[in-house]
Amino acid sequence: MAETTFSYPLVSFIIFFPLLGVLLILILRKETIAKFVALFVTLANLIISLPVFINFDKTNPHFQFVESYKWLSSINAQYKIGVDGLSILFVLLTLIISILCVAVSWSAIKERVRLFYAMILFMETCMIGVFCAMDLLLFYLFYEAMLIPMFLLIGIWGSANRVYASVKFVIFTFAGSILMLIGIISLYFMAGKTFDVTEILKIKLPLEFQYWLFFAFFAAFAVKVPMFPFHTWLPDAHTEAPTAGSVILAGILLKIGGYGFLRFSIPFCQEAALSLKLFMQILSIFAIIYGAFVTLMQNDFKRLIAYSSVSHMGFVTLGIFSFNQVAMEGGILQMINHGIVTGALFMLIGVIYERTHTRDLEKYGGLGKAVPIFVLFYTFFSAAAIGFPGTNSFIGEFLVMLGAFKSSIYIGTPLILGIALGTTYMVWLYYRVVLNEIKADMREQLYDLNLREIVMFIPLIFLVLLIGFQPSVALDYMTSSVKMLLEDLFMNSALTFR
Amino acid sequence: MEKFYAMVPEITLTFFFILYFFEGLLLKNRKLNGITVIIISILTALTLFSFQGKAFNGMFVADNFSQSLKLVFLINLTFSILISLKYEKIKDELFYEYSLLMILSTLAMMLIVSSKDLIPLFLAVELMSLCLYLLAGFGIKDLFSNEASMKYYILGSFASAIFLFGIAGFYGLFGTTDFHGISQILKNQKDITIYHFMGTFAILSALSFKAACAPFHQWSPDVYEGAPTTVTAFMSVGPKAAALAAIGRFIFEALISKPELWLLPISTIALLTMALGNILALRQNNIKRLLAYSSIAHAGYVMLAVLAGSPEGMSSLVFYMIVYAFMNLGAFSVILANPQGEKIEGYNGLYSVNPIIALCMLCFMFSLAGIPPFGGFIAKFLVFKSAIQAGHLLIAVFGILFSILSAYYYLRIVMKMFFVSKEYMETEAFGVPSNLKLVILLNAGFVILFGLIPDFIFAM
Repeated sequence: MAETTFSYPLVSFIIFFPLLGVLLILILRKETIAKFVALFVTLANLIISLPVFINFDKTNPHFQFVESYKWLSSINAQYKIGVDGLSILFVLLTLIISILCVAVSWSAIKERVRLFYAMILFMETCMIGVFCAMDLLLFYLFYEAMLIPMFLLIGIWGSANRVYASVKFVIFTFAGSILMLIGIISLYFMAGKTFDVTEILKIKLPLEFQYWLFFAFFAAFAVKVPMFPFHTWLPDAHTEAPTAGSVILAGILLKIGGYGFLRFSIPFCQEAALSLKLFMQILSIFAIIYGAFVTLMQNDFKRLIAYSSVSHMGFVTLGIFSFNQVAMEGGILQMINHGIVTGALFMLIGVIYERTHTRDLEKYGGLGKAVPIFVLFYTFFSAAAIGFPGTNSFIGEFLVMLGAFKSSIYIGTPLILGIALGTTYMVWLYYRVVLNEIKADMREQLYDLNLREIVMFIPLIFLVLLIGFQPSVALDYMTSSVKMLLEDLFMNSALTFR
Repeated sequence: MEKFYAMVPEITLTFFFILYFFEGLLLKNRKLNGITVIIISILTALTLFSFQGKAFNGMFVADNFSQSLKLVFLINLTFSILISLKYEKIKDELFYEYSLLMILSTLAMMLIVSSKDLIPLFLAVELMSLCLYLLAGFGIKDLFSNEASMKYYILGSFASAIFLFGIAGFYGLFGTTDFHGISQILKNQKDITIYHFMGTFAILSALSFKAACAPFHQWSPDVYEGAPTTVTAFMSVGPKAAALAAIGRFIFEALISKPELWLLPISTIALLTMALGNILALRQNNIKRLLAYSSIAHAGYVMLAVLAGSPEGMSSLVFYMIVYAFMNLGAFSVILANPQGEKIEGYNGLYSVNPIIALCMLCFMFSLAGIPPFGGFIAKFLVFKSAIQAGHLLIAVFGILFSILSAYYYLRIVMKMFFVSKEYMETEAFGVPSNLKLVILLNAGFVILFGLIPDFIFAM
């Protein structure tokens, strides 16, 4: 089996359709229309993309729907895009999250509405582009271009400390990614002047170069994931961003780091990745435990969830770097799960923040009596975040743990502590927010969810339960690609180590 | 006549210059004169790529490298005149002299990039500099402008003297000032004496001074700040490109066979320039000063292309200068368009006042920082690529580290424009003159175009 193409440039269309929306918003000068345009474009894009998911051949581990055109012919960079088992679920996640971002901002954004929705749509283009790019330079272009809308999203519509957070976010990401650029350029010369991912895969890189390359990519992706100790931008950015910004950050941006490891770091630097396995696993475990402890200490609703992301993403990187089928599938699934669940939690915080205008947990309490429908959803997604059996996170965490124990018992055991701590902070948060007595000054501000808000959570609940009870829906997409990745990894490295 | 073919663009420009010299004497209409100059520069640009070759026994050469840079100079001239059409600091009655000097210095720049001999190179550099000294002082009654002119003149003359000293040294060593001759003799010389180093250092320092590379950069922030903004825009692109191209050609065509002669000085200059430019720009509150330091930093990146000493390096230099011309001229046009444009506080809340201008400025700033999808990214990428290809990985990494700093000061302007709410706004609503609007939109368009479809430059 090999790369397959499609009868019309479908993937390009999905990538650039939101840009049409941007143009439309800029042409139509009415502020009130912008959100309808954005909603229409994001919904339409999901519908347009359906043929990708229907026609995707799950048994083919290679790229599908490939399109390739000349782009910068003097240096042999191409416009080459396609999806495979590793990326297709992220594309779907991006499409869904984008719709929800528009929905969740419906009444929250009152200033500079046009720019806001233009940025959300621009963001969607970049995010899908990142997951579909098969050319390193093209990937880098989308990857960096994302900084601009995110910078503005945090900086303009964020809360009090937004300027600091936005600059910190950009500088951290820029510093990481520009080191990756050096890696990309060096790789270009090592691989015989090509940026094509599939071409580079055919080339055997010298071991010493692999280590350098691994760390160049590590600089970018470890910041993005974020792995301990590069996580310090995340709490600020998540906390200060508007709800839609937090949802995009938690839902998609963090996943790009994990995806980068899967797509570039591991296949390009196979021996280096294998010999750094323990290092990466220890970093991941550190992130899980440390992240959970820091989460316990937070008094800010959003900051708490943000820190919990550090812990959750630790599971992802641990799964990826355990290098067995179960753990890696678990890691990828956990990325999708985290996108859905944490995205939902940030949306819930956004919804309640619209009413109370505070994120201080001291002021919360007794929401169970005041806003029962909200609490219904909140309970559900809290359970999903803990990894309650029947929810998607249970499957993800379980697979990662299974794989970690398979890798080594010393790697697997600390995870139990991590999960226990995870349950602790979520339950304690639940206690502080939902139970207890309601505070007097909050009582008047609270009113329950309206229809729009209920509707936007329903698809997420559906996804949580679907993956929770029938994980093969998601796992089937990635199985063959993960299998090929791992087979290549062990076959090639076995040859060298022998 | 055939031997003059290579010079047709210069001859055309000189011819038009003389015509304009008389026309301007009779008609003192600012708008008419400005449009005449723009037409002149467009007509000259049309001749650029049809005539290539050598003249004067190889002293003067017109190749792809020089012709593309000449295009940069003519673009620079066109836009600089366009943005000064309604600029108040240049008085109506002085506009004729002002535009005359601009044409003349553009002509000099065109000669610089075509010179393959140190003597004509020196003459052209002098011609360019003399025009610039005068232009910097064109805010006649503005003390800062006068100071800028004076400072530039004194330091510039000093640099010229050093240049001459270096040429004399080279003539003593090689018996010729021709690049080709020097490279032939140098190839066969076994040992390198202190005189080789002295000559190289002298010439490189003089040219680095003209390009405002550290450690010869001290004049540029003061001059950039003091000179009328249109002149600053003009100076920050053309002369810099010309001087960098001259360094590039000198190294690539004369000294390439003995890297030990120029590798260390050039890499020192490149590192220092990137470091100082980026670090000193961090705390500037005057945008013109900030852009002065940023343009120093950009000269440092281009030095990496020179360091590569390869055809790829040369072509990435050209690409960088083309993109740089558009983004820098665009940024300066925004400064002109904003009545409070020189102070960083003047940008507070610009987006709410004038969204289109603010969005264009965002393009220029992100492009200068080297963030895709803008042209600045591709330009920086090609420069770093050529440096890494030549094996200068470490310097490239340092350059990259310093360019992380640059993200901060460019973002600072974007922050002021977008993040500051209306209450802190110092700028009142203002209208943008149509000529500035045209320049800003054109430049923003080109900056985006270079980022997305860079191939069409290479096609030329």
